[in-house]
Amino acid sequence: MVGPGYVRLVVDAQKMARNSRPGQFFMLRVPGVFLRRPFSVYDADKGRLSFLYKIVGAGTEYLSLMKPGSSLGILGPLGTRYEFDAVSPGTIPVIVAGGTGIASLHFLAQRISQSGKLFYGARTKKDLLCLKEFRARKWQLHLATDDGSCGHKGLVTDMFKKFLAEQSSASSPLAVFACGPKLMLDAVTVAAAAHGIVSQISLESMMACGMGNCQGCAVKIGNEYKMVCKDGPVFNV
Amino acid sequence: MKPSLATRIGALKLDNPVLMASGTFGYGDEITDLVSVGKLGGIITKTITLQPRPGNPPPRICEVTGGMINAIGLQNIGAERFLQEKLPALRALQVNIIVSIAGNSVEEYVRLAHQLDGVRGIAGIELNLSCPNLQKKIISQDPKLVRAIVAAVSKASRVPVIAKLSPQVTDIVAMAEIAMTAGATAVSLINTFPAMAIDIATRKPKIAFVTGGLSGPAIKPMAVRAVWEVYRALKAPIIGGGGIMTAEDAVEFLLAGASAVSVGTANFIDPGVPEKIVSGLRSYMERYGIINIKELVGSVRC
Repeated sequence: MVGPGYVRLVVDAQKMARNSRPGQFFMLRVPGVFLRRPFSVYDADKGRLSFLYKIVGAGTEYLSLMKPGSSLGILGPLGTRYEFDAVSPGTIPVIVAGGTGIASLHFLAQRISQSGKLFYGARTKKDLLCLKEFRARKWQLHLATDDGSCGHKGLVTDMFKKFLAEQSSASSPLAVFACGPKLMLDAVTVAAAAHGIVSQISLESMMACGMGNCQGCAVKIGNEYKMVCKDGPVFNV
Repeated sequence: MKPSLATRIGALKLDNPVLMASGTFGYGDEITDLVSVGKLGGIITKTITLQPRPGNPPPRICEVTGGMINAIGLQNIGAERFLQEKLPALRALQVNIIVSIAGNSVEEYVRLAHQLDGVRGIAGIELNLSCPNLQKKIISQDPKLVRAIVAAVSKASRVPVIAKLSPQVTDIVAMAEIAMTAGATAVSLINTFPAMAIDIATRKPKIAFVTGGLSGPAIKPMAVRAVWEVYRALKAPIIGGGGIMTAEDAVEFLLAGASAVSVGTANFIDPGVPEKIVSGLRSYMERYGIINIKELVGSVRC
């Protein structure tokens, strides 16, 4: 447990860990439910994959009760990644995270050599996770909680918009990565676009196959349907 | 003696009775990393239509106990692009390819049949008759349309034509009989069951289309019954499917009267399932001393 109702699941998986990139996910066989469930990679280090999740129902409850040493069916790595190799040296990475959206973004921060700015919002102080890890990598933290128990009382996007407004033509270029509730992502992409920035956002969807075979996880991007599992989960918007 | 899994659907010879069901492995681009498709009896492609279709707005799927409901909406790239872009790669898999087709009218089915006729690598056609027609019922609930479409496509095709029927009819035997007398080589039993799920937090249906098709283990007993009823009455060639997850499930369908089985939803959970079913069938036959899989077909002791 890494917080009230939050679990970090660590799995030994040499090859899969080595091949995983920030933004990608795995389809996990969760006990007691029918379809596999998608989980973003939280970290991949020393032959181990980590997933961070909140216990929200029967499946995640059973998953949290699995004993160390058990086998877990995992399929992946799947999906598209956050692109940051092309982030030129002077660019500042900016991460906007909402709730458990922090999971995939944590992996991203672990793999970017530059430190940047984290805008992270959650319900309460107890729901803000892995702050220590971001601080250890020298990221600047801008936190928001619904109840004001930590940082700004209100929306994380308020702080993000304020930050964008403070940028001038002399400021360093920004690379924006976001993951969280849909409303948050809409606000981020609109605000970033107004400053000429294309955001990389990670979307979620109900999934069955996780690989692009069933076409169940469609999302509308522009005028077309794209599959979150195969064309995403990371999209440039 | 080593058990033989070889079987046939009309003139179509299969190395084994296990087929991948329509709509469950895309166009084969991804699945080949995980599945030795060449080891299967055949694959039934995603349903193609004359024109490309974007599919339904999301959410398109939801899970229910023992299965899932889908309303994908026949999203597909259209017949032209399928033949140009997807079929060549499927041919390279060296497996029997049955192409699933759907249309809004008899004419559309026939035009599709003509487009596919003589194309190398197409071993059969499966008619997806679960599209709503003008009266808002689905085609395979309308005997006249079923007869017209099956007859016209059978006439226009040189390969076996398989009619995939919806279970949502008063008398599945009567529908199967219509399809067979109209010229179908076999019937595929059964398509999904109309179903619905409601999110009680939002008080909205879980899928945008409101209703969809139920698949998975929850429907297996109803599918086995449909196969048994039709085989008992007609002794027709049947591809049986509905919730098959294991070789044991597949054997049930064979015993009920299916000559071949289709595996669909199980692929989402474990892409290795169809191959496991092939080896599981072999084990079953070895255990019970069965030489030829055809011995099992319809041999349930009633």
